Amino acid sequence: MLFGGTDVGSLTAQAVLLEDSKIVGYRNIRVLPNPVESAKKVMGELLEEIGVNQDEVVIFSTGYGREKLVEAGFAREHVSEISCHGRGAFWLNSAIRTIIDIGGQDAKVVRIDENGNLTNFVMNDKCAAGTGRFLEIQAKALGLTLDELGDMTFRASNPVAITARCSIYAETEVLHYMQRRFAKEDIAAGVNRSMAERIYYLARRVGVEREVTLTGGVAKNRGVKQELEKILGVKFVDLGVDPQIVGALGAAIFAMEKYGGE
Amino acid sequence: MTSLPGLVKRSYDLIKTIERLENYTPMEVEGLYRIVGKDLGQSAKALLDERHDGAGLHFMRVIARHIAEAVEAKEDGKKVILIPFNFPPELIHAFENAVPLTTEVISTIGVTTLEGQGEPYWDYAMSLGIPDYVCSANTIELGSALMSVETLELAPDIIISGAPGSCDANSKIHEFVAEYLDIPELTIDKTGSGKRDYELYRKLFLNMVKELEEFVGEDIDEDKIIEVMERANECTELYWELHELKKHSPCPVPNMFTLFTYGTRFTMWGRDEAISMFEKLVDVAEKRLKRGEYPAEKEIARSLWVYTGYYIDLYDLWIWMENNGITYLTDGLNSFFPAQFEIETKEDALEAIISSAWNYPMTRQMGADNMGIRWFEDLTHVGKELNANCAIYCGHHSCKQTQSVFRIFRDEANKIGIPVLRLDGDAWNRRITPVSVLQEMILDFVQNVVTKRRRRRRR
Amino acid sequence: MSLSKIHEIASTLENEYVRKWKSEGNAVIGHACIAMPKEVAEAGRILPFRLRGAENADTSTADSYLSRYNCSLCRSCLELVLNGSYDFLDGLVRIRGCDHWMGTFDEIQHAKNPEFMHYLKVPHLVNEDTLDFFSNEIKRLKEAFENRFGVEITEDEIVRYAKVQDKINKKMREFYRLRFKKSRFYGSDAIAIMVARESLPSEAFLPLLESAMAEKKKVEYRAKVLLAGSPLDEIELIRKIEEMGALIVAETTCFGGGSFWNMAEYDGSEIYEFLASKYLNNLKICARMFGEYAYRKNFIKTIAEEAEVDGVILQHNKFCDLFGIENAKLRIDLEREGLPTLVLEKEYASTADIGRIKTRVQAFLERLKR
Repeated sequence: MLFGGTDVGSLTAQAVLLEDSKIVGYRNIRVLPNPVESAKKVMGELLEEIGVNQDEVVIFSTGYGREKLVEAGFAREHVSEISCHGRGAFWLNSAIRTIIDIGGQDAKVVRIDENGNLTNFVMNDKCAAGTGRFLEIQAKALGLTLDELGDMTFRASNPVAITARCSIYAETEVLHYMQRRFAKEDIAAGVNRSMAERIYYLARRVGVEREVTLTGGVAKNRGVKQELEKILGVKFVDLGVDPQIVGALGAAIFAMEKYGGE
Repeated sequence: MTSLPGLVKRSYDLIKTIERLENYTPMEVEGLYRIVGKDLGQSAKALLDERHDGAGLHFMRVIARHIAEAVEAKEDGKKVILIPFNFPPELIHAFENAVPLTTEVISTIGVTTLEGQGEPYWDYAMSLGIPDYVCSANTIELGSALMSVETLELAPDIIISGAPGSCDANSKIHEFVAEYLDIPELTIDKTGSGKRDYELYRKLFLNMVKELEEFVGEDIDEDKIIEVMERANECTELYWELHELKKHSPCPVPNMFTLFTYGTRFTMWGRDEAISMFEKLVDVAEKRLKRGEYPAEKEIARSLWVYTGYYIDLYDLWIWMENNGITYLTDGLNSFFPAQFEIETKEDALEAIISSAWNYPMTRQMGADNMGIRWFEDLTHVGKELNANCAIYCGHHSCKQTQSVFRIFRDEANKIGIPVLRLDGDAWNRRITPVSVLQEMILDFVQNVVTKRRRRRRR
Repeated sequence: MSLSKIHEIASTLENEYVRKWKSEGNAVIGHACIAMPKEVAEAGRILPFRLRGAENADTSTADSYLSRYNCSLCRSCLELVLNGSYDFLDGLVRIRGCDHWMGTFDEIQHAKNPEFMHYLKVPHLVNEDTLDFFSNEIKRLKEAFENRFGVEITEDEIVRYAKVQDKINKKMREFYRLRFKKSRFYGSDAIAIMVARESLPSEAFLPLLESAMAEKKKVEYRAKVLLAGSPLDEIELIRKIEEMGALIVAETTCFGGGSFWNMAEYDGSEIYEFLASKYLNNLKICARMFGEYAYRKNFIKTIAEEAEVDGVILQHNKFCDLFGIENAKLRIDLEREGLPTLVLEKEYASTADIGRIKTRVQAFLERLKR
């Protein structure tokens, strides 16, 4: 029996397949306008790649449109992305107690106990500050790709201070520094640091207990990652998988735990 | 980052340094701006600007005294009483064994003098779950006070809450801090602006004085409180002298004197330090009047700031405006209408203090039976006296009361021909709207609305 | 049948009972706070009708009066006043429930200048002086009613209606207990009942309540939850939360248990003194009453215990200073005492908000392992 999970975010969608408690495949795509279509597409491509039929798989959904996937008969059940990130990370490394997930349009800090159960969480999803969208806006203003933005932290000598919380005003600040001919590296590093600070204060609401891991698209930004480690005083545990698939993996694990005995 | 000390502890160290500035040459001071970092540099540049002729430094000394007294009182076993800005400090000055510490003033000092402004303390409060829309004036200092549980800050011994009936956020966050730190809180209540409301307010105030006397372990001495009130009368006289001077055009009273005035009122009223501060302000303004000094070629706008000012950059806002011919005549916080009192007994003194508290800015307007109308009437009264030609509302986003009745203010002001600018930003938190955006909006308003109106009127 | 009638009343503003009441020549006044002494109005054949947002999310006109930094419930109510939905009211009693409400009434005066708007002043503290003050305020309210509506309000009549209120409060407690252990009603039914109470003459409401209580249901849920925080009349929102499995078995809010659970019964004392004490003491459930945090926390804990809830949802509308700060403190304290909490910041009746709310509630249920 195979178990699958889909996770649709604001920018990307993932699917993971499990067999005998092992990941047999995963896939990550840009989203389509409709979350149900995104999930179907990403899972469909993965199934095709592995060469199994959908009726051989018990699928759990998470992320946007997770309920609709159940209504449409595509997924058996749905679980919140908060629990899925907790469960996925814990399954990969049982020492994890805190998961910081930064996606395109939300950021969350999830706390789990020694059994992997959710004990507390906090989420920011009302404005772009502290999400991938914030980085995207600033990278665009700087004329950089997201990857380049992340790397700039390591080339900067004197990061600038980005104080605005609102991403629109932060963009104004970035442009202001550019007009005054500050080094691009220093501005970019300032952006990464400012992002890390937002997350830090979000994390403090529920507390940060070791071990800690960083998931979601922004985990791929090396600059933010390093700044966040510095400010939190922890070293993030690398889960050994693409940090964007942890939510979908969690959903697949929930499916396996619930229907694995069938 | 977490081990950063609180506002009071940090400011205390810093202010001791500022006191030494007087001995430096202008060039050395200029050099200092560059070393101290941008945030303090901007404030130091503004405070020590030539036009203030030493008044800025004098003001820093007054505030330094306010903070130092709290720090020293703690060491001497005296009580530190945390008060909101809308509570008359002269009552506390009448005690031998207690000193006041004023919430919003400490927040403002933090924002203006510390590198990183008030942000670490605001963030600390956020991390406890305080919503981000709660007034930063309170959140910054109280966020800092909360750090006293980790011994990073001076802990107040008791809190006075003076804002119920005029500000929920102020009252509520003071309550939060009292609960969180497990210290007592004394509360008064303003139910409206009528006679019966005053009677209740008076009773509650007198009860509070009794409780305070019990807490401090000392009955206020009659001679001492009379002395304090006599000094308060002197302050009042000087306040109105300065007010008179503002009627001249171009205005000989520099923009920042408004800030110095209420900064002193909220901390040192009834003390020699306040008298000498006001003497200095009047003296500097008189000299400027005689010499006809004004920083710009022409005074284009005589602006009445109907609520507070912005404290996120003293140089690029207060000084910058003046350099562009925009006079900051006064603001809502400065409109506390001090009165002279005849004081012969302790009872007289208490009655006078109660009446001052009742007429405090915000308490008087936002605690009225109709906030919008009282706000408009009070501020336009001041505006007319000072011949203001425009009004500017700082649009402090977390002030739910002024925000809710701004429409009333604007409609009424338009009826009598006063153009009103509504800005949008946080007076104590630069993260909301950057200074450059505020500058643009002010300039745009002055050039396109105020001066055009003036031209039209001349024709 | 009665329950569906109640839902119908809760979904309209000028309901059939109001129309009948008015056609008999009686007045209806609007108010917005549980500090309003209902029996004084009713003794003068004046119906106290509580303003509510009626799940209206369009605040475009109101936003040009109040600002976007003001509470969305207040903006919603103001919109309904401005667009004429409340034109059936013969006047208003304003209370400074909070700064947002204060501004709302100022703006109503500015925009509509209603012929009758009495200011009932309610202190923020409970002590001898404030009780004395408030009993005078209630007398002034009575006089204002008499002068405006040409009625006579006798003490005997007030006592009679106080006793009717006692009867209703008692019945409401009975109804609440039908939700606690073996839940026989949904929270969305309860909110509808509460809203109906605030929109009907007492004599009409009591029989409706009694027969609705007989319509017990089979209720399905994953977890039992207590709802606390700012005023909440959004039946649709509660329905959505309950569809996810979080059954609301009690509310400590003022459109819930807060409006009656702790309300004192008439004890035969001087009526104005009694009313002042009854209403001001009960108002301690509201975050506007200073120095009463412990009272509110204990109220939540007592109900949570009796109703055997799995967790507490602490909700408030964005920009609500009173409950925003209160909920931060409650979260810290209740969690420490072993009661799981979810802080939910929301906009009034906003459909755009529902996705965020659902994710949080679902995760909360998962946290409760339900």
